[in-house]
Amino acid sequence: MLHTLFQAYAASPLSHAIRGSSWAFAIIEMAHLMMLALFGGVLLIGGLGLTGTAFQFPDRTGAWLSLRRTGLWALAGLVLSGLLMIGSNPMKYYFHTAFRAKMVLLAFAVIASAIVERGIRPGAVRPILTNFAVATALLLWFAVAVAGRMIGFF
Amino acid sequence: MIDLWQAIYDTPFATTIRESEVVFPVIESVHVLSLALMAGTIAVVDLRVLGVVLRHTPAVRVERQITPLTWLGFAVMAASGALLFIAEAADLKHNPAFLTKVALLILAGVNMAIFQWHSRPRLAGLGAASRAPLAARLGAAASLALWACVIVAGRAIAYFHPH
Amino acid sequence: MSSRSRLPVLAALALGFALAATAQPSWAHHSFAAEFDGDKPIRITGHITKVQWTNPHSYFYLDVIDTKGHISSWACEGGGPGSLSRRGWKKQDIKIGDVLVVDGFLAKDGSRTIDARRVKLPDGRSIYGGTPGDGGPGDGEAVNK
Repeated sequence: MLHTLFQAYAASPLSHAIRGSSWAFAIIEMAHLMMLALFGGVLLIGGLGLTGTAFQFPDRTGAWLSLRRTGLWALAGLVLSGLLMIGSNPMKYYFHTAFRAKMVLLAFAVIASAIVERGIRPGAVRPILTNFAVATALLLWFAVAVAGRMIGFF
Repeated sequence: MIDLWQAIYDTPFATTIRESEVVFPVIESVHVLSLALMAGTIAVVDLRVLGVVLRHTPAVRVERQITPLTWLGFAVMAASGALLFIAEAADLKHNPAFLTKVALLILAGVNMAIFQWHSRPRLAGLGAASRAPLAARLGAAASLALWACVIVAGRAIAYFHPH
Repeated sequence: MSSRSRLPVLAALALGFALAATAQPSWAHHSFAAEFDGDKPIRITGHITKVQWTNPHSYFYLDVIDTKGHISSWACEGGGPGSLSRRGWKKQDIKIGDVLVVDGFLAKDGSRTIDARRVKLPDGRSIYGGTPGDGGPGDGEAVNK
């Protein structure tokens, strides 16, 4: 079913437009990089602030929630630019091992982040569980980024 | 008259990195992924000064806590960037994207110096609820724009690789 | 100028500079779609005159002799050393003068430049430089047969 979806994308006018353009992929990829920097920064500071490891915010949960909206916007930007990059050659990405790994890791990272958010109740943060959960989520997001780099090298 | 860029490019050290199977990709990956540590943290501070995030904490406190992380990120970016430069020196000499990136880095540095000298003292006395002075907010906006352009110029370097 | 008005000027200058700098005319290098024509697969056979076994991309320069005896110089762009090595192609597998058969896509600007996708080495092996499913010459064939 995914195979059909990717094939349909490959046959679409959007995909043809991206493939034929001399600048589209470049611009899209640059946007992806900028969003990556922002998303990573938000994750780092939010995560470290939440666990009180590097930062002392008076209200840890409030700090996380305040960064959350920016983080979600950055993630939306990453997803959108990512989908457009795939459009440059959908079948190539479909079969690409590093791309598949990245998607799997992305799913796990999202789940881990959801678990962290579930555990946040104003004022009631359990230290050990949260530190472990936050660290796991951050590591998974890092793995997503590394897998993304592998797409270019293989 | 020696061409310093070519001289660096021709050294065994530079050649080894440039022709490596794993080392170059790793250095390049470290450089790109450290963006989150450096530019990402700068972006969060800028967004605080602009009043977009972390509004319950005074801006100066956010800046003071995050800055060590930014410096760590900068160290990693500078080191990896230096290695990439050494490996590709001769090819970069006439690369408009690289030259632009260097100019933008200098501008970003100047902007940060201005922030430290001018805006930071003025933010020190302000509580979390206060709006940052105009100069500080403009500096934060300029910082976001400059670092975004640094990233764009950095990615564009590959597009002007001579062959 | 007062300190108050200095920063807006600086910000404006920086933004303007940055915008101008990123408005480079010839984006047409690199990104596959930008530089090469995916609808124009081409094959050339020639002997190596120069090798750049480099990151981020390797370059091979071939002298191709046409039916009339004219020699033209072609540039072939390949992956980086790690990418080639994983496909079984090491730097010592080729030397100046060796004959290569290169399948790839022709550059859009009409220059004698190819994005090399499949290369037949002197020892008879064929190296596929793309990734499975990308639709390039050699896609779908057994790798390194």
